[in-house]
Amino acid sequence: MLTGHLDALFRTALRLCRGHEADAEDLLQDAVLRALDGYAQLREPSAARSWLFTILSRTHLNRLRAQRRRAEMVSADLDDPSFEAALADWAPSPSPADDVEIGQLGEQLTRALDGLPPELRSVVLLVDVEGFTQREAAGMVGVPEGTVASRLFRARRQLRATLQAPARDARLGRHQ
Amino acid sequence: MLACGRARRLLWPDTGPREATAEIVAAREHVSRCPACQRFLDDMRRLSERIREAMPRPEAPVEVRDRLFKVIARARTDGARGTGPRHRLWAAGLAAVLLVGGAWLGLSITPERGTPSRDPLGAIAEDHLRTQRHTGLASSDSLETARWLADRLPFAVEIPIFPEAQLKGARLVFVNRQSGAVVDYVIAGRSLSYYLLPAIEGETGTTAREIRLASRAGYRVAAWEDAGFTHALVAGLPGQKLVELAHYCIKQMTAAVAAWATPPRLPAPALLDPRIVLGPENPGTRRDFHL
Repeated sequence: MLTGHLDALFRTALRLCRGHEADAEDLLQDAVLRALDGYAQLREPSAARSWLFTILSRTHLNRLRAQRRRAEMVSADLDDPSFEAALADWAPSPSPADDVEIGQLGEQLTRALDGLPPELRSVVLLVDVEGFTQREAAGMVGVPEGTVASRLFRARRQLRATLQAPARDARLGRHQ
Repeated sequence: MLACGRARRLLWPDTGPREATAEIVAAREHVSRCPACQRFLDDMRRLSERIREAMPRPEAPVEVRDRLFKVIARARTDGARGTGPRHRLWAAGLAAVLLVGGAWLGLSITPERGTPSRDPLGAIAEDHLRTQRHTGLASSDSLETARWLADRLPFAVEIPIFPEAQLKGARLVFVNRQSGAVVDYVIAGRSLSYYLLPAIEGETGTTAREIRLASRAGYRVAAWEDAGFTHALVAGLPGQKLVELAHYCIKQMTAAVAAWATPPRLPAPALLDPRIVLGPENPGTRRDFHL
């Protein structure tokens, strides 16, 4: 069960720990031992992936909470009016033709992701990278769906700058 | 008319079919007439795709897998030793994990009663995980190791000698209802196991001496077949290193077999039990001993 998901769990742990491999390994080990301890809670083997990521996310959150107060973690979440205002302020992206090659982006995106606050980073990893639905991600990190939506929007807004900057630079280069 | 922010809030994220309330219907009407909102929804979809495509997807390094599975094996051993309810729960949970893991790998945990595994490499890798609890011979002497195995198996085992590897001993393994040999080494601080098992035709999918590299249960397995036997090296080492060791092993076996195939020119065998002679059914490839 674990073997099939180990790579995905490792890379998620690695990014949750901002690329620190030793921390990621500790996190993964802690999560796996918790999974072994709580195996009886897994009712449906087909849900193993989601279950393992839930344990990984919760273990990471518990570690963060041990480092700082919860109030500090959630203080940045937007209330509904602020979220709607932010949605309305969205400036359209350039056309897809202006996008830079994917291969050039990996490292920059990784750095940008590492620079996001942990609560934003985890939803991007779960939803955008690992393909979980926002409902699933909400269950994994233990917040309402609306909060996941708000965090995902804010994260994408910050990451978009990274995704667009190389294209803008490339365009400038072409015109010079 | 609905504001853009409210319409976007109602329709994003798209969580699948939902009840068409008056507000949702209004939001859809708004978006159908609002290019900015259409662009917003398109941007969200496209950004998600771009992030998914651009994010590097590294595999867990072999070293990490190695350490993780050792931790699991240790937890399993500790759980089995426990007597309290918590320990029993641990043991039950771990057994269930192993059963599910075994099913995923396509192997049987109870090979005595089960049908032959469809994935012998998976079974081999699983056995490698159990080495901490094995009872066998602890020896760094290849002659003693060869004799110990010869006393217990219906075929002889050539003990490979690898550069930089230290022989630790041998044990027996039971995979797919057949007994086999395992020779254990330590190389660069990591455990390395050499398996020799009677082959089940067509199971490993290799032709003679074609090395197949696979990952099972967090370990690399390099396997090949030769003269009706499956040979495998299992370790938490990089695949390339394991393949190098496999080539070294094959070369060593070939040299040994060539030497045995021309007995008049050979010096007296130093490593083998005197009862061991060249097997008539596989001349030049394997020595069988007569009881």
